[in-house]
Amino acid sequence: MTIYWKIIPKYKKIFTINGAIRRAGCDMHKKTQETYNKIILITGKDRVRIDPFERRMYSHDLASLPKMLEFVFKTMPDLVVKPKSSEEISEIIKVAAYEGIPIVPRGGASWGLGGAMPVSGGIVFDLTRMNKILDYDYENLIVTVEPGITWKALNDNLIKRGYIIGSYPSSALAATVGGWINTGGVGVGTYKYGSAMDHLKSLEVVLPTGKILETGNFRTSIFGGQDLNRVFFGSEGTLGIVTRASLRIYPKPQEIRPISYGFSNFQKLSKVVRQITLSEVVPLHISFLDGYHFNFLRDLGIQTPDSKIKGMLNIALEGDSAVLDIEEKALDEIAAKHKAIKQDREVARHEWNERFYELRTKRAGPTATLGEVFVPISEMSTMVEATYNLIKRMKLRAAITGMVSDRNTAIFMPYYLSDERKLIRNMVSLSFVKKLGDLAFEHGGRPAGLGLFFSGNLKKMYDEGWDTMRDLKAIMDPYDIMNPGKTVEGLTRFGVPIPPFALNFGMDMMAGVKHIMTKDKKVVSWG
Amino acid sequence: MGIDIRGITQDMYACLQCGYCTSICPIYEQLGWESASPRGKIFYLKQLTQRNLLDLILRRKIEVTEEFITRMFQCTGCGACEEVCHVNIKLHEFWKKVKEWLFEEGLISIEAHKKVHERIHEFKNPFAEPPENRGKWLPNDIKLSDKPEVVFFTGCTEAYRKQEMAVTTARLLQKIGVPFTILGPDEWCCGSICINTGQIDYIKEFADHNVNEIKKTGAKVLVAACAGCYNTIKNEYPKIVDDMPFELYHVSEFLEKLIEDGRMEFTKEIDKTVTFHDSCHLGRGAGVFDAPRKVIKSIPGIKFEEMVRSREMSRCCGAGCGCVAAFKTIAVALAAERVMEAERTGADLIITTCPFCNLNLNNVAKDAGMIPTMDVVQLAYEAI
Repeated sequence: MTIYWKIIPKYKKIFTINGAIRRAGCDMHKKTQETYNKIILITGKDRVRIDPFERRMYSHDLASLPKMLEFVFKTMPDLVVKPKSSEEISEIIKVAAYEGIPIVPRGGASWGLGGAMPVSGGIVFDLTRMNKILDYDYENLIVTVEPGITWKALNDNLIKRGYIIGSYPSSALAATVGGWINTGGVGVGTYKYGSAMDHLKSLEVVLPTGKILETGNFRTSIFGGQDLNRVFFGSEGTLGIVTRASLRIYPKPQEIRPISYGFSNFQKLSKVVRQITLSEVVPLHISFLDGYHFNFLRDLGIQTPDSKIKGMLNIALEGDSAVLDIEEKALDEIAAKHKAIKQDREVARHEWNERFYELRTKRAGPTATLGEVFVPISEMSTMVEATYNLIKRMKLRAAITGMVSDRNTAIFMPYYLSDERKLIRNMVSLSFVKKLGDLAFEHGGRPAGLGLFFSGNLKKMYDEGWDTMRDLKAIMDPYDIMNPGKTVEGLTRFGVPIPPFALNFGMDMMAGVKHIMTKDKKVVSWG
Repeated sequence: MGIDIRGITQDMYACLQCGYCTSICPIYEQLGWESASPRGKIFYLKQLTQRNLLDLILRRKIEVTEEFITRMFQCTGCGACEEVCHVNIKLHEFWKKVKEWLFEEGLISIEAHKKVHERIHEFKNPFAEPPENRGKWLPNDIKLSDKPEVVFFTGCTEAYRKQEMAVTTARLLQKIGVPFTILGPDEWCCGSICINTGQIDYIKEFADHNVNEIKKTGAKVLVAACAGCYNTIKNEYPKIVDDMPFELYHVSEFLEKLIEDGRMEFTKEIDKTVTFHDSCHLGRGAGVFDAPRKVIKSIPGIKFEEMVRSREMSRCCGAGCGCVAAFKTIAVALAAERVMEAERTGADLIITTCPFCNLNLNNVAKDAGMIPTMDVVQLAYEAI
């Protein structure tokens, strides 16, 4: 405390915006203090934090939100806990249920839809400490892990032993096993191995009542009866906390061979993609980038391919080298029909290594906002056109990236660059993501992910099914403590849900404003 | 709006908060709180610079607290965060600038760092040893040249704490027949630790002094034995000293050159399995990865095993940036992790190029009965 008083005069000198300084300490109301006292009996003092400095760190995820939103959401948790076992989690949940305190599970926090961000305070579970690999079953090809391990760490570990995990998120360096399962994971390798759902053998979940549930027999597949894994897959932490996962693993392939094709026109690229999905070749991964993305990279002085390339298709083949030769030839034939320019091995290798770095260009913004939608593969070329039109109408600096997740589905991940310090311009630009979702619905697709900001879409997506999902949530979470305000309904800090129509209306209004504003310019110098 | 801390605002806004740095940060690995991770620290810095009336209304309490300052200095300066950064932030420079800012505002609260800063100013070394004793490690049988080809920059750790390493380097140079000299008491601390803890007030004086002393000898080549000194002279001195009329080599680079020029050859066989620990200063800091590996591999009989985390992705030993002085438990835990990783390769010996890594790794290994660490020079001397 002595050092603290030394800081004050300096502090005033440095930060004169409001000149205010208050004593650091906790601003808990009595109830939270009581909860804290109960929780430290379970975990000990070392793994619970109640001071505002640490709690502030857990009040956000990937998205950079204006402070103004804190009038509506209480994003700062009241407590942060690092649990170590499912038993501990179960005990804490019982305390929280008794007190009626919300619980928000948090993995790598590398998602931008507010899934790991509290809306009305509560307890955040930082699960990154539960990061052990519990068991390797090489004979049945199953690995059992705790939820806090990152996909990269898990995959690296398996590669050493001669195995791989089939698919992983494009944020694998930070994304955790529990996080990706809960956000309905689609990513690198999904084209060949399927999504996170297809990896699941069994889960251990702590339910919102404190009960610990094992979803299935983890040695074999589930035939008959309800597949409970499906209930928790993509539930965004609203139905329980995954504390252990048994996942499929695969023998390590002989070779991963990245191939890249450049196109002078993005439409040609989508034609090639459709041809590939109709062919017999099953690549590990298919992703695409457009010319605007390369323009932004060029602005930042990063080396890029030829400026004539308006679309780049990156494909990774995986398997036995002899088979890959045949597959590569087949792909070359398809690409040649549409005048694709095959890129050098080095370019392809570079693009493959950049698969974890989709938003390299963010610095050119310096704010980048990513929209993500699924559309049927048949609609890919019309969706490309529609997205470019939308970007043009809204006068944004934007680029299209994306991937093909299976033979039926293309995932569009367009992003736009803006500057968060230009409050109004940045705010109204956010409506792009909503408009993109509308476009997806028009083309028979849907936005990816719900979280907090797109929870209004659930009704649009499932209609009657929405009621069932809400009922399910009500049955499984009778005290409404498990990540409230996400997925099935958007809640404010006052416990009042946001009506979807109001959100939609507001977004449309903002899009209207953006239409009449001037074009977004490149930021020349700032800061 | 906001305060510009030495031009890092741009980087702060560029940060994507993706958390790649978090997954690789050795300090986060040990402490486990978001506030100890690069991502968390940038988030909070951004909050500090963005303060306005809204914070008051919302009672957000974004303040420079004691813990905030501690967290900023709980960093080994290893630069691993920079390697994985999504948006190419030069994070190593970034953290240095933050620390410089805190120093200038008088906000350094780590007593150990302040002490080191004072000691270096007074004694010209961080160990508070008398400066006149700096050349005392030199045995009588080694003759310094009057017309040296090479100046051997010993560094504080080798001069006062790891004298046997300095002696080995000197013996090796003499045996090969390289005329060399040392600066002795006229060699001052390179200032690495001050720069890395943001305490840069008297660095120019020190850099000027060292460069002048080197000039006086007339040698055209400077060989630094310590990875930290090498990195500082290579990357920091050119920013503050105008004229540096000599070529700079790390001792491992110099050995590589000697082998290439045919001036040195390994004759004795060493029947050992070794692994190599890239020190952060020499590897990520100065970009020297291959030279020590080449030297090790050219010794007959040696079996070389690479660790899982090597080269650009090397794992920090935990000693850097004053971490070992201020946060001993973190430094020890990190060193233990590194030694265990080395043992998993099946090696009998860890080879490194930094006396500070050497000191830290050996301290831990000795207590726990694990494999020892040796400098590349000591290994080379055994094989010649």
